[in-house]
Formats: sequence, C-alpha cells, structure tokens
Amino acid sequence: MKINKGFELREMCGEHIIIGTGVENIDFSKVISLNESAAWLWREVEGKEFTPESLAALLMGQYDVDEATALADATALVSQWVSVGIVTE
Amino acid sequence: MMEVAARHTGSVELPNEIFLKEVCTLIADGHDVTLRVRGMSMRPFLEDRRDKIVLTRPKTPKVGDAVLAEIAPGKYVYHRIIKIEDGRVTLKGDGNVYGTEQCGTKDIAASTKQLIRKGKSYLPEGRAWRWYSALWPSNALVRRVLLAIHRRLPRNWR
Repeated sequence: MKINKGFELREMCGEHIIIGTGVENIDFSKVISLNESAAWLWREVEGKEFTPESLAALLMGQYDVDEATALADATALVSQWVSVGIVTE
Repeated sequence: MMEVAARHTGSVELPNEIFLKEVCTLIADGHDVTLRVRGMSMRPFLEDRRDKIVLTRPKTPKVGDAVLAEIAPGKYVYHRIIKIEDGRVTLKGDGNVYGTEQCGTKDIAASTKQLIRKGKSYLPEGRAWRWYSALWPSNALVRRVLLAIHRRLPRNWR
C-alpha cells in the first residue's frame, strides 16, 4: 500500500495535520490529524510502499514496544488511513 | 501502552492567529480553503460551528462583500465590507450591532467563493445571498431586535 498522491503532512500550531494539497479546495472542516508516532510513521513511509507489518517493524525500531502491540496499532492505523481515503491498498 | 492512532476529527481546534495565517498562505498559493464558521458575528446567515465558507484569492473588494481580513498583525476577521474610502476598508459583522473594524485594501486576505448554510451552498453572486445582503438592516436598533429574535428561535429554525 501507498500514500495517495496530493496528501501532505504539515505541522500547524503543534498539531500534525494532513491536508490535500493536490486538491484545489482544502477543506479544514474535515481535518485529519495524527499524533506524534503516527506522524513519524507517515514521514517514514512517504513515497514508499508499505504494509502493516513493515509499519510494525518501524515502530519496534523506534519505540519500546512488543511485536503484537506494534502490529495491532499499525493495522488499526492503516485501516483508518484507508477508510478516510489517504492510503490505497 | 503506546498509542498509534490517527484521529479523524471533524474539527481540530487551533489558535486562530497561527491557523489563519497558514490559511492565508494556502490561499495566496492559489488554493481555495473551506473553513467551518466560528463565532456569532456573521449571524443570522452563518451559524457558529454549523456553517462553512469557501475562501479564495481576494478579488477587487467592494461594499457588501464578506471577506477575510487581517485587521491587526495576526488578528483576522471574516466580516462584511460596509465602506471603502481612500484605500481604507471598514468592516462589520452582520451579527454585530456596534463595532466595526478597519484595514487597508491590501489586508484583505480572501474573498468568498461559496457560503454553505445548513449544508446548502450559496454563491456570493447568487440571488439568495444578494437578497439577504440587501435586506439585512444596517440600523443598529433594528439589527439588535432581529438578532434577539433570532437568538430565541429553536436551533433548527435558525
């Protein structure tokens, strides 16, 4: 899976916000914000192919977390990204 | 446990000063930007946290236009132009009885492309907005009475 073209992570007032810079109209009434670790993952996989497993591996390398937790979190995160249309499987 | 989760939210509360500055940069870059309305100052047409506006690059301002303007460094309002004189623009919110703001024409950061009231879109050059703009009184006393009535209406009538 891959991040869809035209979506960009920006930091605004300390919040990590994904905005669709590829689209003409940027709708701030439907904002996707990421927490610190999700934003870190986003930057790691920007422009690359990834899977929940590869995200889990990244998490384990960066944070003190066991494999089951990392995979569960990565899977949940990916399904949210897919459901809001910023990532394609 | 570490939490890795995207929060898909309807609104993220950001300080206006920085947020609107970013918005103005995006508009200057050529994007249109949709914002949810905050505050009561554009009542009765636009309701706090319910309605939205789509902003675009500033066009030549004229009296009656609702615009986003920087009235002091970092301080923005989305109000209607009530007077332009010698390059000075006077603004007033439809929902404000007293109180106006002033800025230069160059401080107008965005024009209105669309107004979304109760989910329905209106164009600033469209009939409904123009009629409303023409009919909404400027007289403070009349405005005060109408706004008081408006405040007492059931939420879904507003």
